[in-house]
Amino acid sequence: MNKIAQNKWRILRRIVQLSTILLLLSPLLKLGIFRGTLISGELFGVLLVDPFAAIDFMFAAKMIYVPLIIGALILVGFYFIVGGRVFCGWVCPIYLLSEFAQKLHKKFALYNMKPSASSKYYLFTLFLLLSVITSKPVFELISPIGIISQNIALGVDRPQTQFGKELESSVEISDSGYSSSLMNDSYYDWQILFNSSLLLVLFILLVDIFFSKGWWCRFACPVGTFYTLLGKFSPVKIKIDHVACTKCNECFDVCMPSNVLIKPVQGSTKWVIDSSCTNCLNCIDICPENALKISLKIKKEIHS
Amino acid sequence: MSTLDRRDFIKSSAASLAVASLVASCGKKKADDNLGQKLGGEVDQLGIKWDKAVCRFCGTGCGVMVGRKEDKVVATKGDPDCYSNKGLNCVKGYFLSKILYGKDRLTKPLIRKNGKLTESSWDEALDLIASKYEEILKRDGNEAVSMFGSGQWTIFEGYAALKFMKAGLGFISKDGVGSNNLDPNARMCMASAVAAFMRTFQSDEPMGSYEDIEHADTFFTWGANMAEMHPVLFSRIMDTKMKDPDNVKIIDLGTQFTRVSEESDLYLEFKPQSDLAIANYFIHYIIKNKLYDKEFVNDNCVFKKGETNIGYGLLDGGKDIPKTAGKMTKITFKQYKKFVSKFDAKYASKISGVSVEKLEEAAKFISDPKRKVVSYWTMGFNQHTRGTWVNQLVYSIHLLTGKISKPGQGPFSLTGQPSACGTAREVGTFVHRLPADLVVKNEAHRQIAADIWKIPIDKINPKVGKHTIEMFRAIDNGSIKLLWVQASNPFQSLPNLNRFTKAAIEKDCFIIVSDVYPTRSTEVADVVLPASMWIEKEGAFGNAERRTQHWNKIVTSPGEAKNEIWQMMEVAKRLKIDAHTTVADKIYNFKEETFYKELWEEYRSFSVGRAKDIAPYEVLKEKHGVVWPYVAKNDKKDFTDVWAGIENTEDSDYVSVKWRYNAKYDPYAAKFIKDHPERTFKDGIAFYKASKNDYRATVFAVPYEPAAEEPDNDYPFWLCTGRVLEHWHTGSMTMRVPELRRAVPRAVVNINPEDAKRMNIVRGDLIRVKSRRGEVVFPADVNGRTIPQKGMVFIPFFDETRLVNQITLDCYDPISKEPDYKKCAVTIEKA
Amino acid sequence: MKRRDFIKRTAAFSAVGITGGFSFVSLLGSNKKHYFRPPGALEENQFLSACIRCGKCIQDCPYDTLKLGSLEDGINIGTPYIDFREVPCQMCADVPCIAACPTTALDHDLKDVNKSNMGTAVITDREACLSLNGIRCEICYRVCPLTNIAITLDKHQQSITKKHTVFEPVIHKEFCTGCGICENACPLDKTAITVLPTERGDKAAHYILLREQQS
Repeated sequence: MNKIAQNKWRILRRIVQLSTILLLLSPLLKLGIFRGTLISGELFGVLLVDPFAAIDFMFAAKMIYVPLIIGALILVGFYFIVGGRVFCGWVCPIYLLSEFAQKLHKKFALYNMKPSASSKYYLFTLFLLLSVITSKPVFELISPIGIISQNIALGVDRPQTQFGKELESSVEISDSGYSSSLMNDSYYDWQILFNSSLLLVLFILLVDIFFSKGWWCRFACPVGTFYTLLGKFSPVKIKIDHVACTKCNECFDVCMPSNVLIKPVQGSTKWVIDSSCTNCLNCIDICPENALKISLKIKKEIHS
Repeated sequence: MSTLDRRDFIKSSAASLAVASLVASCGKKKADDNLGQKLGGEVDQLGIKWDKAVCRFCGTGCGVMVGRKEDKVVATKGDPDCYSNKGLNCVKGYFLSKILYGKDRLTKPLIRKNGKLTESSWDEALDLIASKYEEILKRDGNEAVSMFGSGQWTIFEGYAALKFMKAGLGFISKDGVGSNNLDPNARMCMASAVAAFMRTFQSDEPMGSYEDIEHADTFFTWGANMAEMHPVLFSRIMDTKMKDPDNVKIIDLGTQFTRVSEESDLYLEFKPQSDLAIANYFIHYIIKNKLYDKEFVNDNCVFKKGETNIGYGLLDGGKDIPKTAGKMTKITFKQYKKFVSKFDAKYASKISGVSVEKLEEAAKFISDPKRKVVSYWTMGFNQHTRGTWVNQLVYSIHLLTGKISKPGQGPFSLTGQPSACGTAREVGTFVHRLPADLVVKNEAHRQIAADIWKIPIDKINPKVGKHTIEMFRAIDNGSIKLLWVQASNPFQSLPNLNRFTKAAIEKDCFIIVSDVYPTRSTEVADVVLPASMWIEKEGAFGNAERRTQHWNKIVTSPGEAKNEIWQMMEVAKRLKIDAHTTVADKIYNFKEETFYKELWEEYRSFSVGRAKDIAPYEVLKEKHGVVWPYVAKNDKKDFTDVWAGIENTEDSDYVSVKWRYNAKYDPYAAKFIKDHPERTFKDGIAFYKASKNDYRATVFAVPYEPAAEEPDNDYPFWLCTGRVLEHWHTGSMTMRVPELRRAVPRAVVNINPEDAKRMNIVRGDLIRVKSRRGEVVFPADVNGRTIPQKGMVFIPFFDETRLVNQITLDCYDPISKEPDYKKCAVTIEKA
Repeated sequence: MKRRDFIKRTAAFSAVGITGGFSFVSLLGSNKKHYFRPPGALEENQFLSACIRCGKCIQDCPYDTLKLGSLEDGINIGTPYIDFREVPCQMCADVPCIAACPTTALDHDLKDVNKSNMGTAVITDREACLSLNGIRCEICYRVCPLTNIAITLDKHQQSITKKHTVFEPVIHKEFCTGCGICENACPLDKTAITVLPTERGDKAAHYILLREQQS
């Protein structure tokens, strides 16, 4: 019981992360809640578009398409309210995989390279520049979020025939032991069709494991960077109780963008103001003194 | 190698590669079903043995050459020496040899044990079958057993089956007579044509030949989608049309817009069943405008009136059919004229929905004395509750105008099966028939059979057996206890299928199915016997133009599959009459080495001298198809005086009669005219078989009568069923050819675009089609290859995963007993 | 200990090198193949700009016609394309793929799927085509969703028998949508009718052909 209480945020987060995957499988499971992928999908019929993909589209195609912008703005509004990188910490399947990769990193790491914290802003700009120059949404080509969600949403397939999805036979097949091959054809097997683009995801994870802990999510992903920028103005933040904090630094270990806790723990601020924070709330779970909590930051605090 | 023509080499090696890649390995060959058959063929430079054969599908009877290496078919080609197709095929014929090599060929006998079909040995299966025959025949008599055969039987098989049922079983059954419960699936296909031929000319099968196509200038297609169902013939019609496009006309009469309608000059879309009114209108037009050939009618015709309100066979045992349904009463021409006078254009237009102008235009074409008119029809006329009537009405049109039995002129009933003519009709595998148009009711005919078979006449049952629909109804009613199905798939092709399938599963009837693949029929069988197919046995088919075509055994059958004759013979061997004799001794007493020859010659003796003369075995083996009546030049004893006047077009050794009843082409007609100097015969045409009518053909008077089930508020649509070019009948063969299956993978329901628009249906929507008998779901096709008229839907029946026959109606023509698959009432809705 | 370390390093570097290397080489590799797009797709270059690789159209295709571009498809990774021989476009009247597209990559103004232009069918092998050899095939003609409009039959005499008609399928570029149902149904292993990109053999605009004058 105690253990669950100690890990309540982590458990809740895992549930949300798995729900994302369930959402992606919604058409297959005939849940009727969600269609599409994390680049663009429809939740209860409302079109949602990944804001970075929308920007990418506008830069590449050099046009404005209103339904797309509305779909992106809905998400922008939502993540503004719940706190920018909540997408990373609570929704993104790559982040989930990366979390496991980081566990393996502890065991198998050869190096732990740490590029500069600003590298992700350079990459963000670079991707958008490339999109403008090449007129192609360059990041969407390699986006591991797109690749993984396409593979989940489209990968598992219904029975197939050479002429498309098979209609169910309207004739009852009697169990005579000798049915015609036309009734039970090998075409009708279920199949899982993985796309070779998954290699890119594997590459990211392997680098994670051997060379650089959480490199993609921390230093590269422009989607994460977009939410970092958005999160700067978000009201949902983690607040630290300096009185209770014993500076045991245990929270540093569980924090993926590890540097976001340094300033608050050292006491220079009451809030985790660095929006690289994914609001994963691992720190709250681990803190032995319950010095951390999630809170709304409305008024601007004065730094001491 | 140096003598080898390079182009030939490339061509044939490409062909061998293509087919060889598909050839399945054949099991070990057992010699004991050979019955004297030897693998035949001439060897070419590549070591491919070529031998002639006939296409296994429709009634056109296209010749093919089959090339084998060792025991596998490695190549096929059209047979240029076959008069019926001159070396061309349709796409089904192109893939013909692949039907041998489907992956689920039946190779072992199966016996149902605890509800499951279990592999067994031949001995076990045959012993079981023989014991059932013995038990049921001794307990319930000959009427409790039945056999359902096929127009796909080879002529040999049909004849062997006929003998088995009508002669052999008489030695076992408690009542001492054979069983007439033998009907072929041709009952569902050709029976109306047969009945009409017999009632009009007293001799079955068309008088003309395919050569009519080259001579004619006006083609009437009556509800026949020849473009898809008789593709090679249609390409001949189109050739005639293209040679003189302004003069040659194709007039299509149908209930739906087909690919023939597309190519036609005039398309008359009539309401289902109203073909009766249109044909009567044509007759009315001909008589009113005095366009009939007075002389010809005087010489060759007699007028008769049919009974009306003859019922639809909806009740078991045909209880709703009056006893006199088939009666014809002689009338005068005046009475006939009066009878058809009410069918004026207005009345016909009201019934048929065709405009008066169109009706008149068509009537002008069919009656124009200068035009050479040939009428073609198939299932639109035959699968019709008044099928015999409407067939006879078309004969009447041709008789009145004298456009009959002449090159390019005549009514021509096409067939749907490769040997509907050869096996079902000529052999007479019907409940009422014996070979060569003889019937069991007639004692003289029975005597002829008894003499040929060397059995006492009282072994042949004079009582007509149960025809197809009543046969399967009798299974449901419990009076038939044993059914042997050969080369057919009735549990997909019977109308109102739900009733019959249920009966087959639940009722105490022992069902034996001999087939090559698992089908809907093997699924309900108690014993399944693996059969050899097509060129895996020696055989012969007879096509629609009376052409008999023979082939040798070319490859051996896979596994333990055996031909049907062997199967019947083995059962007959197990049916013991006394300690020393078996049924086989009585009916299949032929030497093994010459089995097929002796069987053929015995069968041939029925036809010789009856103007139905089938060619001798040796001739058939050599020639690429021979038309009957076969009269050899060196055997002209009866025809010495008339021989000189006979024109022949095919072969110098014998007369191949392209136009029967015509003294110019038919020695029998020439002889008949010579023997009857007291009569005149206009154009030298004599209906010499119509002995009961003073050798005159019948011009028939019958009115329009409605269909058995017509659309109403609850079921507002007509349903019509049929075929498509790519698949043949129940698809058990063509659906196993991957290329054909790829082309047309499933049956669709064709809907009229206006209906579709009104109901918001688009191509690909799933449509539930419901009738009073059941419901089936089909994807919709709108504006496709077949466009039914408003208020009608069309569904092909080849798809075994969606059985349209679950909703069709088991009504039938009271005269021909042929069910009507073209008309019943359904409702459609989005599924 | 050192040896284990060496193996570990080699394994790590090669795993990362192979996956990364392969991915990037594939991605950057040029692919000359023409990719056939769903109905209403923009001109290829514009399509590649406008498609955000979300995969929604692929998911919403009821016949599994649309396939997902993978690594070896280079720049086409993540985009929808059609392999007609596997599953052709079934020309749904409600065009669910277009409805699914969140961007302008598929033209939302295309309401009638029969006006779409995925390509044009062409008889690519006249010698092999069964119909042209006088065999009554013409499967392409009969399976065409625009029966007798996009494909019609030209009739001429079979030159060998001189008794039969050759029904030659003739494709009309202005009506053919390139759905590929004909290519899919062609009974030959290597099809005689093939969908090709439409931009080809365009005649100069200044001359109006007799055929065009008639229609």
